[in-house]
Amino acid sequence: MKPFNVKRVRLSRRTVLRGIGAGIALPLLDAMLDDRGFVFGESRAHAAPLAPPVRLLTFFFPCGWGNIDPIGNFDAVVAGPLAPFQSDIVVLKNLDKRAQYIDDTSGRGDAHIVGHSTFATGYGSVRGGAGGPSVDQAAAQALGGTTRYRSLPIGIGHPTEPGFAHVSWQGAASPVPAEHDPLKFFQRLFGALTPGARPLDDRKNILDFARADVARLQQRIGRADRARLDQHLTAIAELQQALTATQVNCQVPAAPAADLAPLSNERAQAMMRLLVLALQCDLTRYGSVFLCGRADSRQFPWLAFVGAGGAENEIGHHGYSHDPSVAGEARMRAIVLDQSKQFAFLLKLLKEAPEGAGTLLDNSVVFFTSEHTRSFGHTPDEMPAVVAGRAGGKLVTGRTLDTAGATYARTFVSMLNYAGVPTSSFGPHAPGPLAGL
Amino acid sequence: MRQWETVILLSALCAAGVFACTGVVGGAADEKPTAPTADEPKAPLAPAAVPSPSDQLRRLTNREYARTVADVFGETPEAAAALIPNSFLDGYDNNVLTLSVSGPVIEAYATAATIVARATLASGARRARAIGCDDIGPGRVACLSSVVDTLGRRAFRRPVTAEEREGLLALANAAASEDAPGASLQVLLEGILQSPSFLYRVEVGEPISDRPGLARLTGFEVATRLSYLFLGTTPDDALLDRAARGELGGDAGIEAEAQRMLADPRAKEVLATFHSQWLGLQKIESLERSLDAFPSWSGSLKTAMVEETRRFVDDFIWKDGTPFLDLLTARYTYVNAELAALYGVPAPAGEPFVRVDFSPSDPRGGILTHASILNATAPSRTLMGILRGKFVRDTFTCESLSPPAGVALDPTVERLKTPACAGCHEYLDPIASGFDRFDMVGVYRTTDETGVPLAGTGRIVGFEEPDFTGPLELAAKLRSSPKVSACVVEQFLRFATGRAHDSADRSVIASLDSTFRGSQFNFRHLLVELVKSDFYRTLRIGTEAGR
Repeated sequence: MKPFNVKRVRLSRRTVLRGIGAGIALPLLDAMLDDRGFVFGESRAHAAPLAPPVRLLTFFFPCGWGNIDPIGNFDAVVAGPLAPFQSDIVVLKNLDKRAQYIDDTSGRGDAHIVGHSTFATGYGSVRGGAGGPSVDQAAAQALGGTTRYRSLPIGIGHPTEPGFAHVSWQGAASPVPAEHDPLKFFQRLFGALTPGARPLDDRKNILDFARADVARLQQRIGRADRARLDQHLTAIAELQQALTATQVNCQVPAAPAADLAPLSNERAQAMMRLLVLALQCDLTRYGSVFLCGRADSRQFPWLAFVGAGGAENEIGHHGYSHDPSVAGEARMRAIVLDQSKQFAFLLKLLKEAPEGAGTLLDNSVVFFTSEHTRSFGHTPDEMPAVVAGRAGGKLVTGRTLDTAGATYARTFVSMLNYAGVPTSSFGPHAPGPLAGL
Repeated sequence: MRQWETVILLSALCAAGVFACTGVVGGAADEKPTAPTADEPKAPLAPAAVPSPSDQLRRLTNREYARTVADVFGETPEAAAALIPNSFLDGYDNNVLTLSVSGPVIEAYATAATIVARATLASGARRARAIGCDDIGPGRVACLSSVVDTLGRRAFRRPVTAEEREGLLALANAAASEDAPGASLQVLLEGILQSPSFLYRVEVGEPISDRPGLARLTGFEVATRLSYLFLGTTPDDALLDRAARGELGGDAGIEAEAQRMLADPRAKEVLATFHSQWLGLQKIESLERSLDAFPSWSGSLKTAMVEETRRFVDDFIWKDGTPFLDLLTARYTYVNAELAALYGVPAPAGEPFVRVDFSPSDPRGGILTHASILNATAPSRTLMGILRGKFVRDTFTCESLSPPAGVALDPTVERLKTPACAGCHEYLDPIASGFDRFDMVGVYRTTDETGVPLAGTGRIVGFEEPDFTGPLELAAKLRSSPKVSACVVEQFLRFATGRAHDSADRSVIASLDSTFRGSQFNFRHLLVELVKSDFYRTLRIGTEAGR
């Protein structure tokens, strides 16, 4: 871990407790804590160390781990791109989400809708998507009220078939869409600090009006739609929160380049840089990274097999994933390694960010896997996954856990517990925490 | 196959896993399934966890938002670009289930509102059209008040209430300052643009005393439904005036309005959106092909095939005396040079697109042999052998079968020879094999890549005479099937109502289908009869207990 080399600034206790600094050029928590992890201004006799919050993220890539040897491909990821993080991760083997896959009332029976719906939830699939919230959103709903953004899902280019466009869900059939555009994302995070920003009071007043207007409308309509407007009110409240907590506690970075190609790794990395900065500055504590959906014909030109169709004559990630030949498997292994390198990039950013007595990664819990194990078969058993980060020191990392067929979504109960949500279950398919995690 | 009428449900072992093969076949989203055959084991299918929504609150789609903004405030494409893209469900991107809201959706609306308000006030011409008065100086109060009343009425599609006027004016006044004299109007416009009365098509209706759970749409609500259905945008002042005068309360007024709208060029755009989504043509945009395997493939070919289908289907909506279902069997199409080469017909000279009539011996004709359909249903070679059958069921008979969830699909398994798989696949794959003389790109051939002859014979199980050779014979069977006209009605209803139909809608579909047949499948007549129907002018508001 890097030693601290930033100059500390004293903040008033009131400022610290509000979680708001005043344009100070360093991450929030470092500004709030002294060298021993105590809050500035607290009487040492009475103060308990202020633990940094546990951040919770998910990282998704579509189309499974391969066809001939998916577990071998996963092992190659652990031994390859994830090697620098061996001591920071728990490798999970043999998770099972068969029951969750079969719990499908979407009316579509599409293994990829099911895959996206079950990736981070304890629910099956319903018409319109997942049957309940995803783990990042459950954490955000329980604990996310104090930061500027309750959560920040990100992606790299809207999938062209929008049915597979989401892995963050606030509730049944109710996605939280990812931000896919680095410049827009930058503007959302830091735009309020740029010159020419309009008076804050005006924006607050407009939201107050909108909120009152939604509440008025709610009195006039039926119950189903009232629930819909509840989501609208929650969303306005989030936006109001974003406005009132608008002072950013860290340096505004340079804007990302405007020409980052959709679906490129460069775009993914620009988005992840901004996300990690948002975590460092405590603009949010929860999020997801979504490396696109299945039907995007994503071609990976940098992987040197550009233009070559698989045995199926379909070009792109989904087509490649349905090619069970030896050549197809080599291609899938290359894709899986490439996608995992992006996950490794996220871990690297988290690990390079000092926080408290450790790093941001130490104070995070990050879930990583693909939709299913075997690509063409869309198999939901023998699922491998990685949980990264020490959850503030509570999670013991640097180990492999063979779960022997434990229910996949139990992982999320454990993650919620580590993040500070004291729940004993998470939807019908996560009746308890994952033993041993 | 009596049970075809409701739901196919098979539980079986296929390849590596245990699964249930389910699908709604001519049934409604809220109906319980029954097993099709006695010898197949039954498995429970849980009802959908998300209830069928009421009709009251449809959020504008991004397309509707863009057009509405253009009409009320002026064309602002950069605002629509800030919105979160819509998703498809049941074939269409306006399904109310997909139009839920979340933090990012509302944040995007706030951003878009700022953009629209700034653009409206920045340009003199736009400002004059949308605002039309001076908000600085002695006329300020009167100006703000008139903006609330006139622009607010356009934006909310009904007169602004006293309470709303008060709220909007208070908002405008709070922003007033000597430093920023234009701020009042800016926030006033943003307030209007972020109001739920703008973002949703709100329908409250008036209760009908002897029909609990139902309400009669108000005149303004009827105007709004008609305007979005036919023109894809908000009602204009003249239509709102007619609604205010009560001219949309009866059959004659509604019919006159519908005819007026059908004569508007914008109706052609909206109905093209319908038929493009009905046929699933949005799938073409993301298709990529290996140029080694398919040298005729290109990006411009994708554009051309979509244009061909659009021009062709338009004929069966807009040309007088053209039965809609003839789109299945008509022996002509429209081609540019690239499509002409693909189809092996003479290339047009001059005009980018010309009509070509197929000779009697040509294997092409009707919508089923359009390159757009042949490509959209062939994302890969294996899937082509299933999806071309699934397309016919989904699109023309509304018998929707889906692959089982949680099953290990094994490409080496012979689907039709494995009893468990055949239960579903016998309804799909034999239809697809009738298309096998058309490759993934839509080129006609008589042998496959390895030289094996292709017969082009197919079978559509459930039809009285199920065997056919090639898409032309299949099209003739579909053209005379009663299922197909009912399915077209159902598909249009999905688009028009923004939801899947349920059992309560069954009689409506039957009645409209009978009208459709009676008119020799006159599509515009179907639309007019739909909007005149009691169904279309009535609102489901749930029971009293639910309110």
